[in-house]
Amino acid sequence: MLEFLNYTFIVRSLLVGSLFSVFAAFLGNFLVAGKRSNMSDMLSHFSLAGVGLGIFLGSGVGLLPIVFSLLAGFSLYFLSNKSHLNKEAFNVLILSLGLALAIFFVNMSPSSNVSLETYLFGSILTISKSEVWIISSFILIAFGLLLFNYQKLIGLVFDPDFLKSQFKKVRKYELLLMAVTSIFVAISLKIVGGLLVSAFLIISVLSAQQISSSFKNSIFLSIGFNLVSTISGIILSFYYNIPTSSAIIFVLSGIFIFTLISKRYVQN
Amino acid sequence: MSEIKIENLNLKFGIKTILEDINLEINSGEYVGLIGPNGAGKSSLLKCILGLLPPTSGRITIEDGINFSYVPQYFLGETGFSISVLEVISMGLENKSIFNKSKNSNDINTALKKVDLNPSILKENFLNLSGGQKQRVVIARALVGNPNVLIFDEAFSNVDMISKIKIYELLAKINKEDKTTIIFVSHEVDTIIQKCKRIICLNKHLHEGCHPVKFMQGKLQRSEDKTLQINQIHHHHNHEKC
Repeated sequence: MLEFLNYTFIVRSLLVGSLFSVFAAFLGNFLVAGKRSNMSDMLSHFSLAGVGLGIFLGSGVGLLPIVFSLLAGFSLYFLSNKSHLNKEAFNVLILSLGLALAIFFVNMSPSSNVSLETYLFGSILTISKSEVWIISSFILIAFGLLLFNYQKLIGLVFDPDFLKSQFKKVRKYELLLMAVTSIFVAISLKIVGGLLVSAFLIISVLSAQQISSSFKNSIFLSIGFNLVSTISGIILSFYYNIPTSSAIIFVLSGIFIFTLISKRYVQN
Repeated sequence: MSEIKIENLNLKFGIKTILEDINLEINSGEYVGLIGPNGAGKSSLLKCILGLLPPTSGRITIEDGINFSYVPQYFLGETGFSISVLEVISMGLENKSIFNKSKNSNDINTALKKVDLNPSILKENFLNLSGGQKQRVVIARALVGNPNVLIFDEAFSNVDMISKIKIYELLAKINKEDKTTIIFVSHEVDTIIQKCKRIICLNKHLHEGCHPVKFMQGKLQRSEDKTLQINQIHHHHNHEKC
């Protein structure tokens, strides 16, 4: 029954997937509470432009998605703070521009071994050993930074004006959240793909919100939902030969429907 | 020296003038009411004082060691995201280290006592509280950092009358017992007249010495005094009712 554990690539994807999904749920709570859900989509699409440029240059993708994601994140931060720019509309602009650049670079490039599709839909089962180290190291450092500033970040996403009126140097918390989100989204491209990364950040949080009574409670619940979905999604994809990302999102969506019905049932 | 001194303050958004030539001093322990119609610039003036909005020109001098706190117009309910009362009040704590739990817990319990709430409410979801309870929790959040100046921004729009009256009494108590300076912003003129010892009328400019009721009716009446004292206003108000 546990024959999938005999395959190294499955064990590796379970390890990375678990760590990834735990952090995605943790970060997702700050994004949803701060009405920044759209931001992850914008960042992931603009990161794809970095993938496209890597393909075009023939140099490999490397750190380019991270550079592009940070560029998009900080553009959003500075432009929306310096002007009365509509953040939501600006998100759409960056998202479209990112995708346009990605397609442009790929079309202009000579034949390449790297496929854009891998980064659009992800390929958790093909994660290499070095990628495991890079992803794990980033997640552990980012986790530590967010936990260290946990209370201030809650203030930032729920009531930034109050936080700014009480404490000095609040900007550093905004920049931290923006940087961590940008880098996390960029490194997620290989794992779950640019088109699905938002699902990992948002769906489990939405499910947790149906039944939680506090922010902390919501974090623990969403981590649990993301873990269950990722592990069962990988196993389902192994036995039924379906795309792993799709299997995970199906389970996540199933959990959301279950929590929604449970809430209605409890209320009645 | 005044706790807060505003000199020749101007605020513009593009070509639109929000505040013009504001000069104001607020002293320690005062209970100041700020009134004005919608769009008069009340919230903008508060945001300038709190450092959230840089003025276009002019100067705001804050006495050293002054610790502000702020009760905003809204109740954090806009995100619709679950958050416990404990998490809301903790936002006002400076040091939230896990090593400081007992001190934090003492500060939170003291703030809860001031707003007359039971510690059992700490585990409740803030979104499920009544308007009056939410208001008290937001005041507790503002008090937990022991501020010298407490700023209220028209915070009563979703609160029933009985809860409002209790909150007015609570503010008067905080002002009297803790000597906390209170700047209270409302467009409910009666509330301001009854509760505040000093009243400032604002409509882009400061209208010094206007009667608040007439001011809100758009009939400005100037006097020699910078601001009317509460007994003068009560007298005037009662006379008008007759």
